[in-house]
Amino acid sequence: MIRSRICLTITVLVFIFLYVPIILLMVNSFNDSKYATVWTGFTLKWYTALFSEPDLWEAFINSMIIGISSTVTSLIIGSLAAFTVFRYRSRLQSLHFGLIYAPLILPDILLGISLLMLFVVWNIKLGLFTIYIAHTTFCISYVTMLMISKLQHFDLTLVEAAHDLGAGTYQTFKKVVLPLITPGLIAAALLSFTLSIDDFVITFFVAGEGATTLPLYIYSMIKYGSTPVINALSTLILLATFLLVIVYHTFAEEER
Amino acid sequence: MPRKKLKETLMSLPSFVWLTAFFLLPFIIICVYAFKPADIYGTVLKGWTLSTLNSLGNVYFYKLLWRSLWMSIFSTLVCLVLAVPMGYQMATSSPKWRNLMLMFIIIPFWSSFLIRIFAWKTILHPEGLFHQACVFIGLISQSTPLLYTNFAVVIVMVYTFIPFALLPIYTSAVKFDFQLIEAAMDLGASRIRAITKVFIPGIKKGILTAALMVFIPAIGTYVIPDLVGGVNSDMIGNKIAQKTFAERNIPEASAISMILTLIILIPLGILVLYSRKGRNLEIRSRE
Amino acid sequence: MKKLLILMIVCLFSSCKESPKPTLHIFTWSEMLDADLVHQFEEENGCRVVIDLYDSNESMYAKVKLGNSSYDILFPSNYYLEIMEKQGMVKKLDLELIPNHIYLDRAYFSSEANPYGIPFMVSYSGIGYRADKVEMDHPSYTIFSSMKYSGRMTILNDVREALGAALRTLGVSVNTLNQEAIEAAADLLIQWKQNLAKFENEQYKNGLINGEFLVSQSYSSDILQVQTETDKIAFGYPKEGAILSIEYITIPESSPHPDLAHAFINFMIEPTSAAINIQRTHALTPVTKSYPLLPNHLRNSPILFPSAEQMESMEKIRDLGSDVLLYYRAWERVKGS
Repeated sequence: MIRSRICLTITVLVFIFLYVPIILLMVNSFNDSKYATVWTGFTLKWYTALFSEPDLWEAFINSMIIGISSTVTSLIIGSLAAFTVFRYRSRLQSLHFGLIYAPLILPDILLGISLLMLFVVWNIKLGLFTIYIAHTTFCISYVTMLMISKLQHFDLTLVEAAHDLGAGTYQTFKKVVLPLITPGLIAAALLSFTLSIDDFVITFFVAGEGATTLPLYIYSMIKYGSTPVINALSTLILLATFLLVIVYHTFAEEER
Repeated sequence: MPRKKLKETLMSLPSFVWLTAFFLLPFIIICVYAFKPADIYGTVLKGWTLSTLNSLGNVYFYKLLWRSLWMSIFSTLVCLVLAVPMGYQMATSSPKWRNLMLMFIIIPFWSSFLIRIFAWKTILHPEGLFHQACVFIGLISQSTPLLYTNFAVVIVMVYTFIPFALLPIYTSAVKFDFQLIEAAMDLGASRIRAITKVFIPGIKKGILTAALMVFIPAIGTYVIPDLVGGVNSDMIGNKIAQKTFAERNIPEASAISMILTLIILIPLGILVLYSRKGRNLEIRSRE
Repeated sequence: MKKLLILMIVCLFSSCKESPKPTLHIFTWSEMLDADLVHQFEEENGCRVVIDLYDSNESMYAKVKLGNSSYDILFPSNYYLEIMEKQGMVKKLDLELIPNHIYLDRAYFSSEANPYGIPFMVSYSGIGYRADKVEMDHPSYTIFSSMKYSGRMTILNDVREALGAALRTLGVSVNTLNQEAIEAAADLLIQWKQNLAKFENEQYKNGLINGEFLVSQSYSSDILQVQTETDKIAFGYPKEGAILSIEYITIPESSPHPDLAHAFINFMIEPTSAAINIQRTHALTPVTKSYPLLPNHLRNSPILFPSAEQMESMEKIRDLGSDVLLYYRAWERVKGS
């Protein structure tokens, strides 16, 4: 019997450890009391208070804009890079791969401060555009890595077969390649999008005036705002994430 | 240039250009700024100097480095100790359970990490239930603070980074041939021995990857000590932010960033040399 | 695929599109400007106002110096205004465009000297505390030495305010250049540090409300504000002397809309606007004509209008030029110990 009871116990305990804080947060968002230490009754008032926060909407929209634009850009650049690394095994590609891999192993704060310095040296005004550039940069690395691993399962003989049957490059791409890599593209898009809307440290360093994203907003709420309202916001975000993960898993499953 | 090479170069161009401009170049700029002097108002002056790096050679900085290192290493070890049994459990479960567990790990992992840190502020509150419970059991006295301490930072680090450890270990564990465990047990080893002597070395690569996946963000963490740390919990990340935003001393911030990079490159270099022995294009994916 | 590309380009450009109305960019402390007043200004002047926040003079200064930003209005503390004046970072104000300056309290402003800023918010730092959990009949900085509330106290995360509190406790000026005194203050601060939860500039408000903190070195305006939400929090002027600071409203040299900025300043020091804003910030905007317009609880508040005796013992933080390095080094030692 290879099943281990100790391992099972530890697993269960860790899952409890992971979820208790989150569940507590969600429960407290309905707590009438301002202080999480006592329960005084069920209420939705923190949710209504949340929706009358003026800057929340702007922060949300900004996060969406940047999320979508950096996802699209990084998908294009990243997929191209993944294909190139996968297909051509040369010294150039080893260098290429190193360049792609490097941002993944450095902590956010280094990426943040170095980009800030770059924008200062090049005199680029800090704002939504600089956030977009920052997000696209780290997303490219993740997208490329994901696409490379998806391409491992990709059967090049199918492309050759299509060529043999007389299809041109564009047709081959559209009818053979694209349908096969689409699940991978969707997974990469979801990954990239999530990373973008959740990024805090890098955004913190390169944001400019009037440019708030959702994480920056949450941070300033945690520091200066009212606790129960943050609970409400957190609950909503957690539910959205839950849905997103289910969607992601559906597409990841289809792969098999 | 032969046609194929031209095609390859052209196709590599977009990512090369982007990453060079927005990753490599900024990095070089940081290294350059570490050697420049600055005045008290934050203007970077012309010329070169080693004084910035020298100014880091003080006892407070060493204390900071030491604290960042031990807290990160400790958190990494805790994560590994928890992740290895979990990896074993998940790999020896049916695919249905495996996927369910995987999904439940990914959910907190993908949800806003700021929110998860915030959740701990509520839990560790000096008048909260957790605190009362600990006092009741006798673990701590009424006036011992849980929040704004190094303890809080470590717990939140483990909480935040444990999925980073789980995923590589899970990936390795799934590829492990569990018949080896059965064989070991058939030969008379107890299950624990089999796990420690066969399983753990078998997923060595996953464990090393997991260690790095936790250690690197841990040593560079900024938000966690900022939100739940106390007066003596500052880590390298906080120092960099403080130097950049509060003291506007860019050369010092750059110098500290360079040191942070070195701290990361050293274990990484060791890992690369070690994995040269098994030369695959083993790609770490997020699946 | 094409559609996605177009959508992306549209999104990109819409985020850097210039709006047809002029936009006034304000960089300020949180809770500083009444939202309705700002809307009123927007309507009266046909413009848009965008507000960005900072939590310390240092980060404001750093961002302005470093961030290639184009703010029109800044709110530096008095000693930072001195620094920025010397650095040529702020404009000399054209008082012709600010006719309401005649309403300003003479004690805080004179129009004879060429001003770079208009005093906008007078506040003091003292000790905020939970009256229901802390006994403090004679407020004093020495409470930070007491182990009674260990781990539940905070001091401002500001080099001048924190060292200032220690200096006052030792009976020395907050602007001293005496290195021994500064180092002694740092030692005292390190002692106090053992009892602190954090050095905190803004979060202490929330912390006091939800009980994380019991005693905080706080700004009078913050405590007055918090008192509207709960009556459990009190404010005390330390007997060693509170620390006075004045936030000035000023226009950076690189402002793209200086005329509009002047109009904004003029609008804010108009007595009725000032009265409304005082109720918002709970700090004194020194416009004498506005005082009678305040509601009773503010007009008679000893926190908003300290007694003459308390004003006597208060001290204002001044810019010290390059000598401030003495303080920075001491602060580094405090933070690192």
